[in-house]
Amino acid sequence: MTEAILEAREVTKSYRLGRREISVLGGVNLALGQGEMLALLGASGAGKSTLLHVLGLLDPPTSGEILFAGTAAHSLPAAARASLRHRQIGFVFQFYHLIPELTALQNVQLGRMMLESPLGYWRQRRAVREQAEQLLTEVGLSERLRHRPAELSGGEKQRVAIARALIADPRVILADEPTGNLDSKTAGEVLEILFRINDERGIAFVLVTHNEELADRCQRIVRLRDGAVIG
Amino acid sequence: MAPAYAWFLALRYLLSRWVNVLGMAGVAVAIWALLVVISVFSGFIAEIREHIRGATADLVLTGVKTDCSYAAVRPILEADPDVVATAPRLSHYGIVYPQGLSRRSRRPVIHTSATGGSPLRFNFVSLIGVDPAREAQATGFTNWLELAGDPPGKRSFGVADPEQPFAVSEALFRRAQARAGILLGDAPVLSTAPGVMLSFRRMTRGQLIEPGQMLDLVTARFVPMAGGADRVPTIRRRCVVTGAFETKHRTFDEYNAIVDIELLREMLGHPEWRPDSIDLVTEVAVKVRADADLSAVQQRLQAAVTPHSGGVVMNWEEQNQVFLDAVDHERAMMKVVLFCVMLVAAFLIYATLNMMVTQKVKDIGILASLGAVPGGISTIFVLCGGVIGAGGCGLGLAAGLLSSHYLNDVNDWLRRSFGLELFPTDLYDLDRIPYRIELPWVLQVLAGAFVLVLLVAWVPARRAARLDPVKALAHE
Repeated sequence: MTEAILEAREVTKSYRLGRREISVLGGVNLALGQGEMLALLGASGAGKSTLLHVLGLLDPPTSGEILFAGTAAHSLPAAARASLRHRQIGFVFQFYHLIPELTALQNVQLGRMMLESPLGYWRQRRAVREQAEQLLTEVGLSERLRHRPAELSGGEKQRVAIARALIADPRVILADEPTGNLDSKTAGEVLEILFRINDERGIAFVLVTHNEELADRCQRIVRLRDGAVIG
Repeated sequence: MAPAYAWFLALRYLLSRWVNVLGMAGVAVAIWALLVVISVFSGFIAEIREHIRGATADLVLTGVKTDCSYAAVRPILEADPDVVATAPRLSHYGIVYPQGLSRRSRRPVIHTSATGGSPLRFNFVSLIGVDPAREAQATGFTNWLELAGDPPGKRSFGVADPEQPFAVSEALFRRAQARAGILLGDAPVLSTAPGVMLSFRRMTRGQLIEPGQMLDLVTARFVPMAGGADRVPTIRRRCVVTGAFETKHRTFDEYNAIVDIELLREMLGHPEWRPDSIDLVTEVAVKVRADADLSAVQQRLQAAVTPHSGGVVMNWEEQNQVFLDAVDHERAMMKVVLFCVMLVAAFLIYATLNMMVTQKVKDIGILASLGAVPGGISTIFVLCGGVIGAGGCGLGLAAGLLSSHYLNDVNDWLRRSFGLELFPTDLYDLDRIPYRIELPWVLQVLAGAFVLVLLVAWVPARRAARLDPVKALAHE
């Protein structure tokens, strides 16, 4: 494996439910190499999504460390964590999570507005727009730029979500069952896009899935059971 | 500075939810009401103060001892370097009783607000005896006569000679006598009669009293008797109305009749010809240099004169303090009431923004996954409130300024078209609806409204910022 871009060390995550403490992750160690395509397999409730959120710095670990490019990321201040997430980590969700008021193009452009002031964004708006159009063209949506999510099919929505994840030029994309809500044909098309991005751009992927067949196409498979890595 | 996405999403959220227009309209209506109503109140107060100022001397020595003589207090008052002039006044209650009107006309003689508008053939008045020459130097007396002599758009009821306003010319007396003689039948024929001035308001209400009208002035006084008892004889003088005065100070005009001070002294037992008479006064009007410190002069005069005459020296505001305070209080209460309208608008905005946060929980999770910080997320909703507030302020300001400017036109149009009046000018003796737009008040209203809206927007915004992004993403 190449040098790790994202690493979890002895990560635990537990939640308090009333007086009970529920452990979701129990000492997970995981390293994602640069440009690696890693499949995270596990049954429902195994802790896959939780691990993904912890790796993506959306959810702090109860204990343990998250390192990004060798630097401890979990202990950074909130603004620095958000900035790191914006610049280096993209998310693709099972349910797409697009903003319904925005067009496909605007949803993608939104990914570049996070750290810019209004004036700063205004100055580069044309470049951002061109980049967003290009990304949407790459995922096959050049004809659907001005359509809102409600006017797009599931596969199209997921492609918009992929384009949005790419616009900040991340080094890692965390995909939480990206094909879980799609029919097999559309799922296949979306997966092709993800593998192509991995191949062409060298972006590392953590692909959460139930699908063994899909996992087999990845460079490495990590299995999770009851919050622990089993292989 | 709010990040670009906060502005972008705030505008998108606002434009996609027309319910926000309600909040904006609520703020606009509240601001419009606060500006128009308070501007009219301020205009009304300014006009009233101006009228009061015109009817009142700079300072008045009042509440003096019952045997106070003008000759005794005048040198003390006029010794002050800032006193320009003084004028003696003698006030006493009385009744005016117009002669002959009831036979000449079936209409009531005088309507008075004191009786709820019921017709009376006589009317209670406060008789004010003045020395016209001195009064003209110390107060706006000349102006009072001019206002009644040349009322804009009205018939003139002015006195024939402003320098001798109580002088009854032969022609005027003949006219009065002829009226009284014809109407009174066996009434005694008079050779002369003193003059009296009524207010333009009193004379024109009912269009019944004109210069040349004969009146009986009736009053009473206490006469001490041996053994400590008092006698209260009534005194009656037949007078002729020489003309009208008008100060525009409604209370003053409504309740006062002005006569020569010597006439009133005579009626009260101090005729000029009697050696033991004094130049009795109940108050002295004082005119102060325009550049003088009124308060300082007031204090000096108070210290100098009251040991001799008793009483108190009051400035023009103190003389009308209760009335001015009442109007100010009414304006303050109106501000409170209208602020409640603003509160309702603010609650409406709170409710719509709170609903928006509830609807946008998932978006908040998405934004967090894209790298938004809690502060940025809360900014979206504060900006929504800010845009609603700014829009409402702008609309309310424009509507308020336009409404104030065209208030009289709108009032005229409503009166012509529907018989409605927003502000009954007759009630306040005003020709038009007064308004005064005070910049500090406008700024207070705008700033207050905007800050209030930001505050109510901040509450749901804080809720948005505190949402756990993972739970938000899982929100259905």
